[in-house]
Amino acid sequence: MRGQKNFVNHIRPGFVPSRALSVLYTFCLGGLSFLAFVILGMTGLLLMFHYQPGESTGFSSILTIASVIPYGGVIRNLHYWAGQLMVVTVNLHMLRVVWTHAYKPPKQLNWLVGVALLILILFLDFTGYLLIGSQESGAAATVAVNIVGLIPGVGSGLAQMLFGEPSALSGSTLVVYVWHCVALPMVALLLQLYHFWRIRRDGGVRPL
Amino acid sequence: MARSPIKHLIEKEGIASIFFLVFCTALALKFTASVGTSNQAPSVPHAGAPWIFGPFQMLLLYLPPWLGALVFPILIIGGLAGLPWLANYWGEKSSRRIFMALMVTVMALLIWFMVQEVWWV
Repeated sequence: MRGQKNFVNHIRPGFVPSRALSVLYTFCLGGLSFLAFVILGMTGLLLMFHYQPGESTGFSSILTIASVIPYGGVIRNLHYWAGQLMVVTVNLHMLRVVWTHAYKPPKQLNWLVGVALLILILFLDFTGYLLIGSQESGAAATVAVNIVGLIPGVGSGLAQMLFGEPSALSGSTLVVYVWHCVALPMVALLLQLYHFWRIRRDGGVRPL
Repeated sequence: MARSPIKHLIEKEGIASIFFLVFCTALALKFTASVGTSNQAPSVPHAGAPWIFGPFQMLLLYLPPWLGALVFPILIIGGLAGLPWLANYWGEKSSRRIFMALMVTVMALLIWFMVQEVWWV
């Protein structure tokens, strides 16, 4: 109970430092990245109703969503563009953090969480690309499997765990689907909540 | 330290969110996300990586796989993660300049790849 109260108070305190209100200081980039994540979650949920992973079904279900399902094309476009914009806002957010020295102690732990989130978001973007199930995604999956396979000792097992068994013609597998829709978003959401909590815990934004 | 009610922050974040939503919706209505080439079609000779992974594909193109795909990405991620400690070691100004230069270069490359991809949509 005390932990819950502490968490809520840090996420939504009654007052914040006045300098946190300056749009030109933060450019709201962290908040916009989270908004993009929410849009991705909502549109992704709608896409899941019609998407079927698999070498033959992945690409055909994408075509069905894009051209047959009512508003499916717009929802898919929104999912795609929110994903692209999220990568842009997250990168700009990191640039802003470096520019304003916001990575320095006592915020070094939150910086590490931010770097982990960046990596997760890149993985989310990549797995989303594989799920299209096109020839290009098959080629990307093949490259990724070969790269992971380079890791001495654990490479082939890790590749199997991360990608399943993609073919050269399609990267859409059930394993990639579960990573993209369940595992990675859940970890990213938990890390984001911790990231927000830490911002308040470490004292919010600081002057240059 | 001067403090303000959080509702002022929420108002500003809300306004920024509305602009972002409008921009995102406009992009979704104007530009259709590519579906790529069907896996039933004749095979594509060269598949370009999506713009986000453009710099990574360039590394793979010009360097041996173990260097471009493992060593460099690990060094970049390790460098990013270790920034607070490297800043202490190298001195604040020089480390900040190095990382800003690196990040601006990567961002410029990313924007270049993105513009190219949108151009061809």
